[in-house]
Amino acid sequence: MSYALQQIVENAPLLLIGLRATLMLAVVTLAASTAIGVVLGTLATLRPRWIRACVALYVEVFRDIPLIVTIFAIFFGAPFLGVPLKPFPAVALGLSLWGGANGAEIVRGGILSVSRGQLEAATALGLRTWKIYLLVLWPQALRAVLPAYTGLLALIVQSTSLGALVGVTEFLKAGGLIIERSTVMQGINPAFGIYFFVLCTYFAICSVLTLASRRLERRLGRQAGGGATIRAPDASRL
Amino acid sequence: MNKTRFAAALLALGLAAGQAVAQQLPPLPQSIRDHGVLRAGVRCDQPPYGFRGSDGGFAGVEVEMARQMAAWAFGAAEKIDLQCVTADNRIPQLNAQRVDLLIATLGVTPERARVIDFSDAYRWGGSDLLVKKGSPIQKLDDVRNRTVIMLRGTTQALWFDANMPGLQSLRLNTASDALQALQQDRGEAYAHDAATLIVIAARDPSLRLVGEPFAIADAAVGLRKNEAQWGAWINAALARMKAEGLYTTWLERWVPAEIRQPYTDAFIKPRPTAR
Amino acid sequence: MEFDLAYLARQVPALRAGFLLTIQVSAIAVLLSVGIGLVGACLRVMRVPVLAQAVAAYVEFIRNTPLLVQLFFVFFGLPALGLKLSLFWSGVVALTLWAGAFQVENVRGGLAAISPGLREAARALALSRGQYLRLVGLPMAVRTGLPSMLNTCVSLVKNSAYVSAIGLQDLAGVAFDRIASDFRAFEMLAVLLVGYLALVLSLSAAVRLLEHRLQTPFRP
Repeated sequence: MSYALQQIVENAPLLLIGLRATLMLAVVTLAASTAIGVVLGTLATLRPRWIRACVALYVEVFRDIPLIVTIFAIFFGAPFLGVPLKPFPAVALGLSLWGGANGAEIVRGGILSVSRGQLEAATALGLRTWKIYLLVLWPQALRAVLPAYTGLLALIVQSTSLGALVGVTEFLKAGGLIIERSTVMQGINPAFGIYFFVLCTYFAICSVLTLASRRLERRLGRQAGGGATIRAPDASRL
Repeated sequence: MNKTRFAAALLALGLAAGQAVAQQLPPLPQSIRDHGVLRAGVRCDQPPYGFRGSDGGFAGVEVEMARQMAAWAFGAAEKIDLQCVTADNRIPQLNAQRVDLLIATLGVTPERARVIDFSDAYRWGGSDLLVKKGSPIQKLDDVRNRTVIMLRGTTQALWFDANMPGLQSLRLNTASDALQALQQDRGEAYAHDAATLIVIAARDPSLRLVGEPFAIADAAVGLRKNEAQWGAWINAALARMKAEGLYTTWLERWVPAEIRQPYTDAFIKPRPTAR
Repeated sequence: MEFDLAYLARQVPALRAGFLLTIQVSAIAVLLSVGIGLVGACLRVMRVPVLAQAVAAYVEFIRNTPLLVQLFFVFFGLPALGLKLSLFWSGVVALTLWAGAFQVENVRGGLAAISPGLREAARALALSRGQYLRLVGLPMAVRTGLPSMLNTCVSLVKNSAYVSAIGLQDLAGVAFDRIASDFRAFEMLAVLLVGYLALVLSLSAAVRLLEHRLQTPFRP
């Protein structure tokens, strides 16, 4: 164990580079997922059935295909379609499409949770549809959506580890490189210590997000007069 | 005044010599030149061709080849961007334009030739099996009812799929994973390029090579399709490396003398036949 | 970008074997994880000292760490402790531990949803905690928690694809291996997309059917 610790300290720069890549991937994915999620989630609350069906189809497809398959499909498939995608963008795209699907569900639930009275009052006041969304529905949905979104961010951070499989040097991959070098050059295998360290780091980051999500749920749930907040997409629904 | 004139003359001479040297190679394609550095994919888990040196940096004969190409293409060996690639992601990385060439123990196979182009072969390489010292495996056919460890996407994987289709195989992603798996008895043999296995066996007395070469193939530089000008430059660079005896220099640097002969043969002698 | 049907036809035996392996791994992991869920939830609810906290810590840890890293840890890291599991069992164990954490929460949720009336009735009848759980609590909890428990099971089947990352030749593993050797990404990815979609959709449909049938005769 102490050998693993020594390796971690010696290779701290590499691990930090990996951590930075992990966080960058998470941020990019969160931004793109939010964009996709808001657009699709809003579309899913519109009246026309075919729009809702299309969004439902997208959400179903990207939540049912394993995330690892989505990312490999983009990474291996894109060059065949003539679009050369480097590993980082490929993983970001795959994670965003998946994150967007989950985000759409959250946003849809958030908008639908705004009490009908608000919608009726706004319509009665003669507000156009897009104004209703902008001024009434989205701001109130935001409250309901925030705890779930924080939970989704925790999932996104965890999912960035898939980048290791296609060559992105993120945190997991950095750990793997340390193990590789030690095994081949020194014949000692620190896999146990290194992977345990990687697990603990993810735990540190994600548990903060999960706790924040729960705290937000309690606080906002109370303030909204008991109006239900949207349940965060559980990792089991990954 | 004399000193300046002397220096100027030397400079002119140097430039002329540089020009002459550069003129031995065809022009570099504009798309490559635009990057300013040579973006090469190399192995980081396969001594002595591509691996991590004791200082953590890139090391090995193929890495030297890449550095030399950078020097000839851009004027300095430092003008290089080396990427670690694995057997299963090297070609996707090339096609995704993450790198512009692969000097990564890439064997020439028809499947690969469908999706990328190969330069002229710069060496050949065979495969072998690594087993523990006390193993009952004495020849290639002995693995038929056993579990063999290999890497995904390698010539060994292709060979076993074609020649021993029912074989129980453990397909991992890196040489170190495979080595670990062998040492943990997850498989009875580890099949990989003989070149790498020789180095590993030399370092670890508890392991030995079975010694029956198979799947001998040429190794070449990989480049994307439809880049004929780039291919021409690479071929010229490889020919120049051979003419200037650089392979021998690099082998002396990276391979201990007692095991060097098979490697020299791989670069200099023609390819033998085997299963 | 041609689609080579003949190539695909040649790969069918390998793909079928991979699909069977996916089913095997998933089935075992589902059963074991439900077991963990039931036991873990009981330990929490009965507030068994030490064990209840251990279960809580286990659940938190699993939920806040990536499945992929857990898998690597089990396969590459555990041998250092003398626990060398085969490729197959490493995959099963990692998936079981992962899903088990969520099943604990699902069963706990089901237990919490039991109306207080039933709990009071059990106390009035002088049932011990253990008897309550065995005769009343768990059956009711499973009934109520079934939707979320089954959802977790479907997720487990879907995420069994992760085991391809350590080289297990399940459906995803076979496909990725073929892509690495033959570069027919189009054909193999099409099989994966269709295969997993079909698998998950049919399982989800079966779950919904089951839920529908179980709505009768009454809800607690």
